[in-house]
Amino acid sequence: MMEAIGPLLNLIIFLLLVSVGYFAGTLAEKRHYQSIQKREAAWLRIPAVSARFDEKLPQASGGEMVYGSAVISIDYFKRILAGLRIIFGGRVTAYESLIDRARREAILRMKENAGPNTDIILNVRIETSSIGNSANGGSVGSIEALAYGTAIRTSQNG
Amino acid sequence: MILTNIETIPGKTIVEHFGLVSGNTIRAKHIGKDILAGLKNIVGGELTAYTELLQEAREEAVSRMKQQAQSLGANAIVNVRFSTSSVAQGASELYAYGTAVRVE
Amino acid sequence: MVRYTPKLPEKNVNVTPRSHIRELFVLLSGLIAIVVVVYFLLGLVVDQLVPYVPPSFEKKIGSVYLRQIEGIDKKDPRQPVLQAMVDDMTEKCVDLPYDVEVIVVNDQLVNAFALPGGKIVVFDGLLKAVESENELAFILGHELGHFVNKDHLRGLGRALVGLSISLTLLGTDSHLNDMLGSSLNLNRLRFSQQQEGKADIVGINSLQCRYGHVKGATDFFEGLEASSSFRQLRHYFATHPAESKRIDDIEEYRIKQGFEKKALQQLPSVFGTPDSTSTE
Repeated sequence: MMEAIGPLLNLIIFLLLVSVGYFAGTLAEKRHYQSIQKREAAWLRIPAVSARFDEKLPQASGGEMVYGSAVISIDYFKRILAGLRIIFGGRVTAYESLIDRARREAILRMKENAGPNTDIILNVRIETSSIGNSANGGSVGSIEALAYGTAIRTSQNG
Repeated sequence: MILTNIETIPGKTIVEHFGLVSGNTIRAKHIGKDILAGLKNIVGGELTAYTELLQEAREEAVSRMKQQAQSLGANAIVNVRFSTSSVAQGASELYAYGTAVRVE
Repeated sequence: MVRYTPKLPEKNVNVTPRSHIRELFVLLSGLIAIVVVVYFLLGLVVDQLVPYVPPSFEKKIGSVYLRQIEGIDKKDPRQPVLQAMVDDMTEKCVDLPYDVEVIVVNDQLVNAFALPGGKIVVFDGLLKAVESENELAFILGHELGHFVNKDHLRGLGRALVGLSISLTLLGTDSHLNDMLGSSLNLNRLRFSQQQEGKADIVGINSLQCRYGHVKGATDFFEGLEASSSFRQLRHYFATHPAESKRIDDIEEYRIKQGFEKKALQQLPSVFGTPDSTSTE
């Protein structure tokens, strides 16, 4: 009977982590999406495109490389869910919002770094890498998104 | 919906653009195929299960990107790029992005 | 410059709208079902393979566990008596391909267990609790039954199957592996009710063979129930109907075989008087 306490304690800690992960993670994700949507609407007037639109830009006063990056981690609940899904195969829905959030956040930060006087960000590239999970070889972790492009400004005060 | 990975669409003129559109997906194969692929790794050669997995992921990412472009009123996407990351072991993550445009 | 139309997509196509809680329960129950089926099937395979394992291999496994046991009393005066009983039983009653050695451990645990490859470990606490030679012979016979059925190999085989499944599914760094790994530890190795029942049959048969009657077979269980000094165990018995089922099964087998109950044999004097210790 005594020896059952160890595994039981492990199980309780595990369940606690999963439920804390679920509630805190859901809340954090909801808040992040609200923030992303608000800022996306605010920065909508500055376009970011992956194309260069090969044209002469006679009125441009300057071009500058701009970056934005974000590292987002997944909560414990989704980590477990993703682990299970990887066993069965199929669409790993638990990770979708993580990746979506990281990339949209990176693009937003790039726009924020470019500043409000920017007319357009050209030739945007988005890179992603996963960090923080290489050391223990675990199957889960956080994702880093990096967005970069060239900000074009036409107004003199930019 | 026309997709290119160059700046333009030959024979057409871009009249309007809508900024970036993107589609991403993350998929996995079931553990049986993972184990078989691990065994195949010993002798080398093509891991068909994973080729298939990447194809599925790419198709899904592209179709999601197209959906987004359509909802914006675009009829083409230029300068499409793919990006991938290993967010989870045994799962393939694919991201497709491009510039949504309307051509005439 | 190309004209820009600022517009946001109405819905997010990159995130599947799905209840994650529901997905978790569906996947988890599916996984548990698969694991149970695989564990059961591999367990059957283990049972098929066990008869082909040579005794020398069993001895090797047993010696690994023997090294972990502390408090072995080689000079205990009761050891030669127990050894003689076991030797007599393996000669006449139980068919085993190797000799069995009895080891007395100076510990107040009321317990005895068998190590693979022919070692029976008996605790001092148990020797103080038994009240007749017949009772003791049944316990020894029961442990011999585990040797006959190779229950250790079955238990270890199943523990290995469980560990392999968890390693396959969860990778190497998981708490579950540590838990399953400790099930390879012999102290934690639990035999199934079926295995215990089969060992009981060997025990009762060897009683009949040695004494010509089977009185005392269930005394150990019943004694634990009645004795006041084992209150915790009594509680354990009360909440564990499987144990009283064992007594019933032994009795049923006795009637079926027509085994009689006659007078109990006193314990040799080296064991002392059991009454004086049970009232402490």
